[in-house]
Amino acid sequence: MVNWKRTAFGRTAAAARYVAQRYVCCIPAPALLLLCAALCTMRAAAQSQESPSHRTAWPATPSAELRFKALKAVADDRANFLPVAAAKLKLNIDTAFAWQLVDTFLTHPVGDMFWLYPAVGFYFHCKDRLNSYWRGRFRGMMKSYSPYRGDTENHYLMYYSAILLFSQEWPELGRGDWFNGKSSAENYADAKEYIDHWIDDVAANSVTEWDSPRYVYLYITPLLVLRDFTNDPLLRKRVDMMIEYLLADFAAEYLNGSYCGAHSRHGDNSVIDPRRAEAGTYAGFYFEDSLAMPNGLGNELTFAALSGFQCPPIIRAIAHDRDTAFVHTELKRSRAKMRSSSERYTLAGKYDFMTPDYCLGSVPGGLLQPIQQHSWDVTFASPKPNNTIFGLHPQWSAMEAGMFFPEEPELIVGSIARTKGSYTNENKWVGGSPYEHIVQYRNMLAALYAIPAEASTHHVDLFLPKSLDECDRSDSGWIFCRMGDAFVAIYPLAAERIWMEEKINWRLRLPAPVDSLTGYVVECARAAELSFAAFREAHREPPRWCRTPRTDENVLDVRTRTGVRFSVAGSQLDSLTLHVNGSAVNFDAVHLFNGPNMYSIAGSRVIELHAGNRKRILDFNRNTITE
Amino acid sequence: MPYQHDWASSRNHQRTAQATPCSYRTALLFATALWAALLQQPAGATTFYAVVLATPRYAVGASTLQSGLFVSTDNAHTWRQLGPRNVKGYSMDAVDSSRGRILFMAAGNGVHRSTDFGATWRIVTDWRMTEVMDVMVDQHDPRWIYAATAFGFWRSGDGGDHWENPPGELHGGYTYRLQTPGPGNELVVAGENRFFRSTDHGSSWQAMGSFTEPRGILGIVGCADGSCSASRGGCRMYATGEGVMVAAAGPARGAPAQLPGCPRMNVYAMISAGGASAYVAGDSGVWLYNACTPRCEERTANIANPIVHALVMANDTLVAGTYGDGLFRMAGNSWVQSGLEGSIVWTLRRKEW
Repeated sequence: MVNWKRTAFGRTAAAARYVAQRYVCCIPAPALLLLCAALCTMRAAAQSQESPSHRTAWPATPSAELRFKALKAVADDRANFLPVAAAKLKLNIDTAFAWQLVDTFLTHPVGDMFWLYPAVGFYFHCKDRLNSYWRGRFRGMMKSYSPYRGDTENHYLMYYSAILLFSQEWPELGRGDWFNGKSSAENYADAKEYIDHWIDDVAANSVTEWDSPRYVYLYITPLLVLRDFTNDPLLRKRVDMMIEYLLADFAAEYLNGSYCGAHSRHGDNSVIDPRRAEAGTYAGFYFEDSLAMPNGLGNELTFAALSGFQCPPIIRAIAHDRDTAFVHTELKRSRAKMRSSSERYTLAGKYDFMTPDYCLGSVPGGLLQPIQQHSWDVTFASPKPNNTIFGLHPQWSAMEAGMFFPEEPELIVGSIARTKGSYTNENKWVGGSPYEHIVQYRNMLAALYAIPAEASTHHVDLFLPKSLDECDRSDSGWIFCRMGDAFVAIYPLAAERIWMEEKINWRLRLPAPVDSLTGYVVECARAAELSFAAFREAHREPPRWCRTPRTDENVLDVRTRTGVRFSVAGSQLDSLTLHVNGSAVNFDAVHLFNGPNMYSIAGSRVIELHAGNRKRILDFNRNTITE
Repeated sequence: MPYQHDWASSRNHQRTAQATPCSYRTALLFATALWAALLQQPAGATTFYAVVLATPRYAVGASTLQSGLFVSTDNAHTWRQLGPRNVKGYSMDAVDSSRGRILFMAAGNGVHRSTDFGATWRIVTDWRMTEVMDVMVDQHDPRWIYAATAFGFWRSGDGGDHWENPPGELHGGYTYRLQTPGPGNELVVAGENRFFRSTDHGSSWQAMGSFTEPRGILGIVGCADGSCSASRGGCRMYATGEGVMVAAAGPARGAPAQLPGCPRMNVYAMISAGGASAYVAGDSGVWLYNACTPRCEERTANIANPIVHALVMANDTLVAGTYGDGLFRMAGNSWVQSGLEGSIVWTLRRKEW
């Protein structure tokens, strides 16, 4: 006799029924599967009639079917992660292995706050499956394991959100029952105060680990768990608003699977292949209503699939509204600086020129984050891999380390190099430089470098992927690239150019002699504006530039193909000013967000989201969402 | 079901307690500590403490169980972990009158306190305090506890129960080391490149003028005392991360300079070797400096790791804490391992009670 529940169909049906019971309604599993299939068909038909960018009404995400697909994808994994165990238990798949994972997780705790957030997510989502033995083991971990709080913003969020929920769960625990010697009441108060502070601070001033394709999931995941299980309705509301804030911030710079522009922290792999970033998992889940788990990443989707949070349609529209080109700016701030700086936070104006075919985005340069900063790029909408062009000065120093880490600066460099091996590599593709100065106006960007003798390297590198449809070098000195319908012209401001062929890219190295200016000019265009041949034809003259900045002189002067005069003037690298058609372009320190999709005045704690004629306001002063 | 607890009243209670540092609870705490100490620690015992930051392969999230506070009562030969575990430990202090019962440890996640000789620990600070580089008990009035953090100076007036970040010059700047250089309640704090002193528990600060007994300001060290330094006008030397700043008896000013005759290195620790001599340690090993000669003689010898971050004298034996290879003790002209293999030893302390 066949036990239908043990068949694949039975498991799927059971899973679908679970999702349905939680999110749709109580209907039999086979009926739900038929419903899902019908929904799929209807959605596919609808999508075939209407291109995404013209969609006026996006449904909220994730759909019930996507929740199930995500849960199933994670449950089918054999990875040694607690979200995998949660998915298996929810879907009744491989439960023996799941319990084994839980046992291992509790027997050999490791990972500090990276241990805490899956622990709390698993505990609350699977609480109905946990008998007193398992609940006791989790409770006992709060005494026997001492998770470290960490030192970054994402660490704190993971740590305090978990502490808040566990202390809420066991309010009777005294000081002797917690690893940190605080009672549940004290832990709850501490965690709540931090999270309230963090929300208010971020609503007014932005996160410090802004727009990180590598780490944004470590914000969204703990927030999802927190909003699902906090007993405080006001906190739940505020956390919902924060998730919307983070997703909207992401959506405004999202282009066909990629997180565009400058980033506080990028990964070594994702910086050269943006769609491989961890952020892609949540972009697929919330913006595309599809399952995207690049490189097998994303078992945290378990918690998103089980969460009651839904991404509002307006955020999906923001992610896809690319009919026309637009400028989007943001005010971001650095990670807190400890040394070698007169200010705790350095403000940075972030600039994006978004088009249907590419995005050119940047920050002004300098050191905003240690190790993994990414200061500018062109991101192509093309579905090809390695859909990006960018440049950097590969720099590392004790000064940078001491700016962001508390120990002896010269010792930190060695420590970082041991754990993040690329940091002291002259060929690395991530990292900021204090000797970098970037200016941008719409589709034009210039990056200038004055690299002193004490710098760790004396060259500037440009990443040009081999996946470009075309890439050639003209006699005039301009380099022309095309990927899909996006064109990029690059003019290196250097006497010498060294081309190095690597596995997936060309590395254009510009040697940077001490005390002279090096850099490049980048101009982008779309096939909808002109042909690639015409684009090339428009760049016959090299920019005017000088190697040594002098007072009141232009160090760079470019007349763009559209007739705009783009010039940079100043005597020192850190005081260069961009002029467009003779007028200085000043740094916008007023707006936290300013563009057709997002608007906020810094410090106001009111974030407006716009898409078409829709408007949604996140008001963190009144803790209201209005649309 | 909302969490049932009267948070407002408990928080109000805490704030009320902060306003009256000399509380009954604090008095009881120290009375108990004193009693326990009398019972459990023999008078005149020498106790050594090692604060371990981590292991060299440590990254946040990769737990480092071999960190925290370690204790030795056999002249730094063998060590026992006191806890707290899995922290980035930077420094420690004890209420001397409690003879090791009341301990404080400075760590990346706050100030930890034990009131039972390290058997149990409690983080006595909240989310606002992070990267605590040093902690110090005012031994004249151990209600006052000071903390140097990467984001400013903090203090507690009730034995560590409550903390505040007083306004003023050190409200938000980087602070690194603390010292009470002599009798009285003078407090010296070293920041990024500056030194400050306070005689009112950190309520107000003066840029560093002079102090009578500079020895023991680890990493910001004064030269060995004695006739030689007196003849030189009471020289003062403060190690920094970029060399050694030498100053006369007056205000410590001037660009970082090398110790005469010593190699160019970053200096992390310095202790008196008696007379006008001092041991100096940094990223080029251990050196014996004589302020009279002036001359520096290398003592690194066979030490496994030339990066030495902490020094302490165990009787007449020099013990060095390395950055990643644990402790070494000097035996004649060579070094032998003295425990905590594989550890980054950030601070060594010797306590007599």
